[in-house]
Amino acid sequence: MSVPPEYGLAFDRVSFGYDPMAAAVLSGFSAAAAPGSVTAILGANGAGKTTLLLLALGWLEPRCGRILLGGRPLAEYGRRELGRTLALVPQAERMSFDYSVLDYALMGRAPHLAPLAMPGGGDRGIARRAVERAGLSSLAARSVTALSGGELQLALVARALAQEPRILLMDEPTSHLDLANKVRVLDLIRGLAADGVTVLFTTHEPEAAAAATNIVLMKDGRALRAGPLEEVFTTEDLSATYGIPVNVSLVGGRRVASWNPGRT
Amino acid sequence: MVLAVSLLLGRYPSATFLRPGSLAGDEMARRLLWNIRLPRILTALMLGVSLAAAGTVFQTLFANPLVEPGFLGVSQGAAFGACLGIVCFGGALFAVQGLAMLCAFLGLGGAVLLARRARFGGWVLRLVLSGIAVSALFSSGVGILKYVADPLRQLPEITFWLLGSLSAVTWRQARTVAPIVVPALFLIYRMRWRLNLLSLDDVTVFSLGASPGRERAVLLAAAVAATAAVVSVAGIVGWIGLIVPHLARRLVGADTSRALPASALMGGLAAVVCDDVARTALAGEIPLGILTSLLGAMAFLVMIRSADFQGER
Repeated sequence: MSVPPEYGLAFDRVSFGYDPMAAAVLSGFSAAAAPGSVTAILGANGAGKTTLLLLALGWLEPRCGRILLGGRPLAEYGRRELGRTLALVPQAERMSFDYSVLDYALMGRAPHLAPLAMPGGGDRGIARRAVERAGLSSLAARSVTALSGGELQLALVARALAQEPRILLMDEPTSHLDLANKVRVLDLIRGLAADGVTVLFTTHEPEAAAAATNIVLMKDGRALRAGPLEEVFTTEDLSATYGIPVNVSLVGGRRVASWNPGRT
Repeated sequence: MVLAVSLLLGRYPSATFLRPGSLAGDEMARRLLWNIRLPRILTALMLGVSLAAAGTVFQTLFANPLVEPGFLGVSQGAAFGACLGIVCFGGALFAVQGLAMLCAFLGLGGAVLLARRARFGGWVLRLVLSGIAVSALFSSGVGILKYVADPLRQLPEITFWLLGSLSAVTWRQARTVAPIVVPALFLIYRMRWRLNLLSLDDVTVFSLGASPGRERAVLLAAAVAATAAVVSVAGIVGWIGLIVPHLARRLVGADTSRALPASALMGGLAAVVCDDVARTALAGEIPLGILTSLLGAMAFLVMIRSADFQGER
């Protein structure tokens, strides 16, 4: 099997607003993620992080500016081609029917199938491995409506893995997870990057962002700072992002953000 | 699967053939079987399969287990058309059936147009609300027609039609319904796995490389076309499109690649059995809609009372 092509992701002066009358959510946003890199988009609630992911997905169209996937404008991709290139792990999903976790992960195979085709044995194998990789093997037959919030988040990850994307977009992937599962998902992200998958995830937690190789700090629809972890994950930049004093220190070689209670 | 259904149902003519089946030499019995029973049984099969399959499609697309295929103005539109045919054209068969089909599609068209114009809510909410509004308009029209109808001649006919029945079905009806029902069901059957995707959130459907709006519209059009066609012949036959998809999901799981064929099979069986009872149980004809409502409501009561009932949400 040939090595799959690697795709970087770049925002080129992208502006976007939901309401033409109101102020733009994003204005002149530029940032780039190299192929096989892990980029965390860190910012306060309402800074435009999810909007950024939906723009990268092609669900929202920028007012002006371009988004490039592997050097090609997003708008030139066909629907199924885009589905094979990009996958999204949303923050949560409303589950109306009691699909098993495996059935649910299998839906990730859709962009690899013709419109009237049924998934075959190969697709089932890929879905099963995706469920294993997300750490849900013991729950594969469980109904998705019976999962806890954290387990459901892992099921969403499994579905995205079954999609075998070249770029993975994740919206707050660790928000509902306990410590062990948080470490598992962050390790999984690093493993994917080692396979050449470009990962872009949003988070409001500095401790999750510290697991990335690159950081984009967002505030009020602008990239405040963007760059490698060591340059951007600093006391001054994090304080500016959140608007409160944040202290970054090195603990055992890792960057840890801390704050002083009662100082806001 | 489709072949299995028809094979399974092949025994129905003889099973309900109350006189000994070996009377093949009887010219009268053969005619009865060929000209009256067979088209009726085939139409009942199409009716049940269409309603149940369309019900599964609707419930999955709207991610709502409470919708049924007639709710987008289709059932009430057909009812209004049929009543109009009975009152204005003296109940001529072609007028009743033609107007019923016309108004069923008119109802759907009105609902969709209204949904496009609505200025608030998501696509699903707008469509559901428009369907309710259009249905209400048509049912008030039915009320007016009932009021002006001749109470001795026309009113009984209207009432009988609204209760749903296959008593007037001949080969001609079966032939007009089949060209719509068969391709629509075939399309739905071929898309049965993909239907799963469309129950997810729009953004997720999009991220899976599908076009949520377009694919939903295709499936919806097929489901409504099949429903409108059978309703125009059979009248309002309730509960099959609502209850059978639930039963099917409970039996074989939520995955529509299994639940859809199961639902269609069970719907077809239910309609054929109910119609058999409708025409044989009493000397006169029992309206089919009464039986399906009775059995449907009973099945529903058993279902919600059983211990392992799991809510769909």
